[in-house]
Amino acid sequence: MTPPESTPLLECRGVSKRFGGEAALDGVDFTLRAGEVHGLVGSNGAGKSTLMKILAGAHPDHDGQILLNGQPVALASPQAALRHGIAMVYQELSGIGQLSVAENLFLGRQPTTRFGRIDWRRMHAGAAEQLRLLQIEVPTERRLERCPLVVRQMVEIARGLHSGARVLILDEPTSALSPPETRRLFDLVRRLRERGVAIIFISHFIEDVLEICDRVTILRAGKIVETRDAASTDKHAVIHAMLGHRLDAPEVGYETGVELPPRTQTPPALVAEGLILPGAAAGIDLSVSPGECLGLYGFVGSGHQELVHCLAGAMRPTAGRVMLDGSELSPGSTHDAVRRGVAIVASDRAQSLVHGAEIYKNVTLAHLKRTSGNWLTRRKEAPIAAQVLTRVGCRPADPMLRAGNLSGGNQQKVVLAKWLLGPLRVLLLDEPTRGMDVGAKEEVMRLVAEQKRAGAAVILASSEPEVVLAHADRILVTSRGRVSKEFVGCSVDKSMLLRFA
Amino acid sequence: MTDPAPHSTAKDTLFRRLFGRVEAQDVAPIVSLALLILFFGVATGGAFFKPATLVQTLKQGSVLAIVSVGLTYVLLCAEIDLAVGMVALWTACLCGWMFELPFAAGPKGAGDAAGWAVAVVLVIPLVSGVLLGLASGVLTVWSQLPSFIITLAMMNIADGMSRWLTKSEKFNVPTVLKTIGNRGIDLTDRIQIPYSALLAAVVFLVGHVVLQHTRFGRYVYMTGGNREAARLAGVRTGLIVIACLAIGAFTAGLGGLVNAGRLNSVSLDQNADLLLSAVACVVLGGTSLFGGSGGMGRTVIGVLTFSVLKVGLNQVLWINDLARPLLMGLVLLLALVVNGLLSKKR
Repeated sequence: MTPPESTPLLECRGVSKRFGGEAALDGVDFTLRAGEVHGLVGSNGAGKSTLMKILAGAHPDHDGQILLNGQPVALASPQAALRHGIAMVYQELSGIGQLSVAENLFLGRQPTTRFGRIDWRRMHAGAAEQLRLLQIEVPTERRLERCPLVVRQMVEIARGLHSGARVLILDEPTSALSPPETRRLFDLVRRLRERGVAIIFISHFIEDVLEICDRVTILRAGKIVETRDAASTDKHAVIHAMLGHRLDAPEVGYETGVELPPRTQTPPALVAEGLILPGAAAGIDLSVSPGECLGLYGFVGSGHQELVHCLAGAMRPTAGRVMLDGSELSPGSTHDAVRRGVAIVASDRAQSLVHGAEIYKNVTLAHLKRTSGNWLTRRKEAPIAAQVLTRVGCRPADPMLRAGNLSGGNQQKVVLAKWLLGPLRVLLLDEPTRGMDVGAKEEVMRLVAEQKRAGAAVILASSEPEVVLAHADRILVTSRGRVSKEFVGCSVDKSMLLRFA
Repeated sequence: MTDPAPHSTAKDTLFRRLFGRVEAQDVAPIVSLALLILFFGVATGGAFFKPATLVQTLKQGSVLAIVSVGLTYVLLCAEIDLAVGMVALWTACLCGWMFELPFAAGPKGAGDAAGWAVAVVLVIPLVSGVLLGLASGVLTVWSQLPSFIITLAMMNIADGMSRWLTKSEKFNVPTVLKTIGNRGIDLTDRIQIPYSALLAAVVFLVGHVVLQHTRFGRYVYMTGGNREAARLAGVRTGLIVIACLAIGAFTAGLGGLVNAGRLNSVSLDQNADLLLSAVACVVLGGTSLFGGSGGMGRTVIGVLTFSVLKVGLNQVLWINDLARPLLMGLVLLLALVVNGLLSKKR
């Protein structure tokens, strides 16, 4: 599809970066051609973000050379990188929500009139032209925060291009997008490719990578494992290269579909009746039994995440009630829920751990009386914490480390670990593996499966069909605040889920 | 999508083995204090190291210390209480006003007050102070407005109540307060341990033990460190905030009473700068204004630093009277900046 170029647009030769004693990147050779979409995959800690930060100018003190159009360049700062035409679109978007689309597009480079005031007419006209060229449909005066997420991302991309970028780095662009929004983004990416822009596509969603990218580079432990054409490889091979070993089939994802077991006969532990949450639930009933995993599938924004928080007592519903073993849980009270064995693992790790405190303090927090009694001492608590940390496979299993110093996957294990120190009747999971690499995902979900076998009732809310299909015994699809379909005792696949979402 | 923080190197772990889990944040305030003491020792030609100075520093710092203990709790749970100065004032005013009622010591406090009457005159104002703190807490949690705003209002309310009650007059206070405020245990001719310092030490100790070794203390830290995470783990963060604001008000009241004792009477001009001094002490010691990190040990250092600074500046004779507040402010600024820089290095 792309005519072979003699000189690659961007080239890295022997790029290395050490932090303290550890090499985050070790002798990376990487080429990027104009008009190519190049995927970059690897586990957390493999070096993806370090490489990207170097290209974005955030680590000027790296070893090795970077060449643009065959000329060596020094990317001494983010501004320097921008001037050389390298723009990065981060996972956490940096557009300013309160400003309009046009203002965001021209951020820092507003056209001015003769007197130095902003020329609004020219700005909106210029913005409209840019958007038209890229076929992005959105009114230029609309405030960015009112636009759907995919539009915000596309405006970010347009901004980078408008400032003259020839290389675009997209960091996890699809992780929070629904399938239709992902389509829209991919259409834009293809249009950019036709115009000769080179794009680096970093993602944990290997299927997305294989769909949109021309070539894929796999990183492991700071080194490049291989670079191959996307057309000549498949998901299993990529994961194998990423991890160095094969994963069991259930974790990889289902293209063909799963057979769901028949409905469980055990009486339900948790029952929700008539839950109404403004903007999230418009009258939802559900129930889940011990030893069963109920999957809640829906697009991002369909309300399944808020629903889970409501069941945990973190959000107060405007109507309806939640009952555990027949008696009602106090609405809006996490204390009551936790006391009675209802636990929640949220998607946002920033929300679930006290990052500034030691791990052991985080681990004992939910069941403090049970684990530590009335007189708290480090000597008593740390071993208890260390034990459960090893059990969940947290690396390093050091209870004295600051929780914020762990990687995302390990942080999630710590979050889970704290619920293991007390009775666990219901485990509520809200996108628990968001942003985690395949290996860490597998470990966390294995822990969940263990708890399920031990008799906990599990509710797993996710917008990734693979996750729900791989682990749920029964699936509810939510759409616009209601349950649109229940799947139980039958076969179901990804397309069926999507149909009802 | 950032990589996790780099793993520790061999050099890091050696340091850790030698000094335990001491961080730059812990050491910096102590270093500042030591430097200050050294500086004043030199600047006063050695006069700073006289026993009388120590006694004065302790007396000077006791009220501040007591108030800082409660304020530490408030700051640890990521809130602020702007009303501490006025709650201190109100508590003292109520005490003085009640003391001059017929059932106690009568007009001008001239008469003899029975034991039980003195107890009433001390306890009721303290309780009223706690009630003000509870009100601040409940309002903050219920309205979800920042505690800054609620306690700002409470500050004015307490100030107003004090004015209305005292009508700008001076009131006498029970003798026991005067004793606590001014006397102490005489070790030798010149060295005396003021009772107020002993009281402050007790308050510190209790505050420290509760913070470090009780579930409540742990909940305070975690509520301040990440309120949402604590809430999801089942902590009743609303109650914690209310409790901390009540504790802050209690120590403020206690400090107000001791201060009145030290000054032998109650008047409206007391405790005017208490708020900012107390906040400065807590922050100087290294407790973060954003919650979740810090503690009593740090607050002790902060109070000592502040008191040393104040007493020292008074003693250095070649500094102009007018320049003292300015210098105080400058040194404070320097210490805070240094502490801040060092704590960023973790």
